[in-house]
Amino acid sequence: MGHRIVVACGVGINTSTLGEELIRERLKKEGREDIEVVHVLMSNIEAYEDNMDILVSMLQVYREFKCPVVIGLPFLIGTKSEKEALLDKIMEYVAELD
Amino acid sequence: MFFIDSHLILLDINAIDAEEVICRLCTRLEEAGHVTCDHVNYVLERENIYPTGLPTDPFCVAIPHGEAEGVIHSAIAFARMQDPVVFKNMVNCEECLETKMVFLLVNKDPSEQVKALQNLSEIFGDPALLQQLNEEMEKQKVVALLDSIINQ
Repeated sequence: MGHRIVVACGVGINTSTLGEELIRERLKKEGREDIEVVHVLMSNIEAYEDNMDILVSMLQVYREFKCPVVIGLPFLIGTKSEKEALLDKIMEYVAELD
Repeated sequence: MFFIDSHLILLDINAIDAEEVICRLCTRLEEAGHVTCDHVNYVLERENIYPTGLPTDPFCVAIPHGEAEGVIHSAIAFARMQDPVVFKNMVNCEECLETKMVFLLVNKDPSEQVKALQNLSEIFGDPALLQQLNEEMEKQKVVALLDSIINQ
C-alpha cells in the first residue's frame, strides 16, 4: 500500500501547493518518490482522513487525526532553517511509515 | 510579472482597521488602472472568511488578495503602518495580529500565484529584510526592493 502525505489549507490552494512542492522536492532528494503528496481544502479533509499517513496543515487543527499532524506555516513564513527543520520532521514521520 | 511603482506604496500610514488599509490600497490600484472598482469587494470578502494575517518575526504582516476577477494587470501594492492595524491570523482565525505591513497582490494569472507566494515568503522568513523594509524612507528604494523579490 502506497503512503500519502496530505497538505491542507483553508482556501485558494496556493499555500498548500507551496508546502506540497517543498515536500516533493525533499522526498525526491531522499529517493522517496514512492510517497504520494496531495493538496486539499481542509473543508474536504473527511474524504481523506482514512487514507492519509501524515497531515501537513496550513491552518490550526482543533481535533485529533489518526495520523501525525504538523503545522505547515513555516513553509510560508519560516526562515530557511525553519523550513528545513519542518521538512526534517516530516521525513522522520516518513521513516516511521516503513 | 507584478507591476509596482511608488503610486502603489503607502508609507507610515494610520488606519482604523484592515478594511481601511485594503480599501486604500485597492483605490491606488484602481487609480492606476490595474483593477476594476469591484475587485476590492473580492479582497474584503476573502479577508472576512479566510484572513491573511501572518505571525512573522519581528512584526506581523498580511497578504490580502482576491481571485483574478476584476484584475486588469498583475500588480502589488504595499502599505507600511505607523501604528499597527489588526488582521486576523491566517492559521488561527480567532487570533488578532498587530500588523505592521500589508502586501496586497492582484494577480491576473492564477498559475503565477504559487510562485508569487514563494517569492514573498523570502521576505517573510528574513527578519533582517523585514527590518530593512520597515526602515527604508524612500519610496523608490521600497519599490526596487519589492520588485527585485517578487519578480525574480
